[in-house]
Amino acid sequence: MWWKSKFILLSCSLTLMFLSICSLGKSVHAEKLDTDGFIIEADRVVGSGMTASIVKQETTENDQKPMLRFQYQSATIYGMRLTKLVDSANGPVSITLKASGPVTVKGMTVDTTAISFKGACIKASETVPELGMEDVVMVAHYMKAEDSLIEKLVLNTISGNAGSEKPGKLQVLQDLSLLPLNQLDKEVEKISAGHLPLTCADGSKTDAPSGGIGKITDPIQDVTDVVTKPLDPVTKPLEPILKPLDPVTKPLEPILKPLDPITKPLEPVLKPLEPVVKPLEPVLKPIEPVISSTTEKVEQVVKSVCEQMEDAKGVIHKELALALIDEAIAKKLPLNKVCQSNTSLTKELQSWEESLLKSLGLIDLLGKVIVQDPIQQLNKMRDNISKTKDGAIIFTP
Amino acid sequence: MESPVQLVEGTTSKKVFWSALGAGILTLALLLVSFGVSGVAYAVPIAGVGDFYVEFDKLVGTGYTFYPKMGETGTSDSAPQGTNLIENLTIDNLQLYKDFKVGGEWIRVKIAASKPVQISGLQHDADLIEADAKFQNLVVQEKHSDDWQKQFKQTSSTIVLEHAKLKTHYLFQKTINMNGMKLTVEKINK
Repeated sequence: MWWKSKFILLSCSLTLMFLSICSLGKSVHAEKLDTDGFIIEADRVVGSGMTASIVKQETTENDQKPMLRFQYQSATIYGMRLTKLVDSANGPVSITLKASGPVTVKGMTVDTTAISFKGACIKASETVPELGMEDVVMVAHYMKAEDSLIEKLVLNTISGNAGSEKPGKLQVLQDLSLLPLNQLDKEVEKISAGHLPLTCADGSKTDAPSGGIGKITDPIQDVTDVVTKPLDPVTKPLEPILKPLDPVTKPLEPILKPLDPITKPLEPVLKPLEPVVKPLEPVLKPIEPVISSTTEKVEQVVKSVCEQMEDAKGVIHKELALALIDEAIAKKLPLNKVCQSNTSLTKELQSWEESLLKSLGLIDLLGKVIVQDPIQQLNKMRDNISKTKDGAIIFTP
Repeated sequence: MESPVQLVEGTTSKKVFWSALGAGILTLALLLVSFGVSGVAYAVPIAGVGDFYVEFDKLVGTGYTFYPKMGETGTSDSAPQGTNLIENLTIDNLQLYKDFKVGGEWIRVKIAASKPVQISGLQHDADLIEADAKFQNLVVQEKHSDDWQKQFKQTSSTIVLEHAKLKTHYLFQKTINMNGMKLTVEKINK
């Protein structure tokens, strides 16, 4: 029976050898290089007419993958770096595209699966007139721009992995990627129709660390006028609406107060008889001019804006500028129609309004006004002017 | 006894010699005449000299494509590079140069064109491009492919590069019209 024991021994040896090879095989496999997507990093992105939606797009490893699509009418990217890692026969190769100067793009589309940035929460199929993002890192799979200007471009192809760490994938995309294709389309439609938040858990929060939004607006303001001002109305939209009420309520105060001393002296006057009644007449009469003069004052406040401008021969100082803007906001009129009755003033207001819009970056390269809510425009102008010194001359014809 | 060396006297066929020389001169002359008349050279590669630099003030081209590749350089048989294909282009103030170290001194061999250079079917392999760039219809995308060279591609309908410097390893043009060409060899301090 020697052959039986030899057979068992041989079987066991072969099994052990096979298992050893299998276990070794696993450790021998090199770690697979993550070449999916190209990483786009930017210090700051300022864009207008931004819409976010969910699409299906091709990647290095997949034919159809749900992605977040950003579409900008125009955008300026500061500190842009694009890195693509490929796994060549001789090891990893990195293609890096870096721009030391600003990158200006028109009609840009970017499809991404992962993104991190400091800025407002983005909702599906909702157009944001102006959007600022800071410290942007995204894993993109497709980027298109109708027109692009890249200043100080350096395109480099080097050995090794030069890419930065990829940000975490968006939860909404992770959830969608688990769905079968037919259900995916329905879910995407649902998200789009409901304008659901895409880059944060709920609509109010951002992916930024706490206090991120406040930090974004301030440093942006320091950099360039065109870029930063569009962010202001996002943080304090109510202030310009409340302020215009002040001049209406305050003028009433001096009317009410003078009445107090008049009513009180009447008490001792009523107690005496006839001789006291006559003196009352002159007391009551003076009240009328008080009321009539105050109504005139209110009218003067409204009228004087145009009159003041006329008196100043078209030179607009800070206080007059604010009064004109308040007037326009109150009447819900464009700035150039505040003094409609006076043609020369209207022309001056028109050129002043154009210069203000230019300084706010609301006029494009072709000289057309970028479409926006006129009240929002006026609020921006007001914010801009209120930062100047008291008495400063804002406009001269 | 030493065997005497036998000298064998050969003869040159005068007919063969003169016909070969005449054919060579005629071909060269035809080439120079055709280049001189049209100013166009066909299928011109510049390779095998290691990396060299291309500089120019402005390039305006159409039909641009970029993709990665591995190729030969002055120091390696296989190094990462990017292939730039441009269908048609015009270059202002083109300069190509390479620096050589000869006996402890640096010498620069430079080809420059004083007039705009027109090229069609350009293939340009480089590992470094520095320029101010403008693109129309720029698309950067990845493709699902097993071939790593096809996984990433950058294309644009037009490309404009200004104040450019390109570290080049290979250059090929289907046709090149290079008027005002000048070749110089100069000593440089490096």
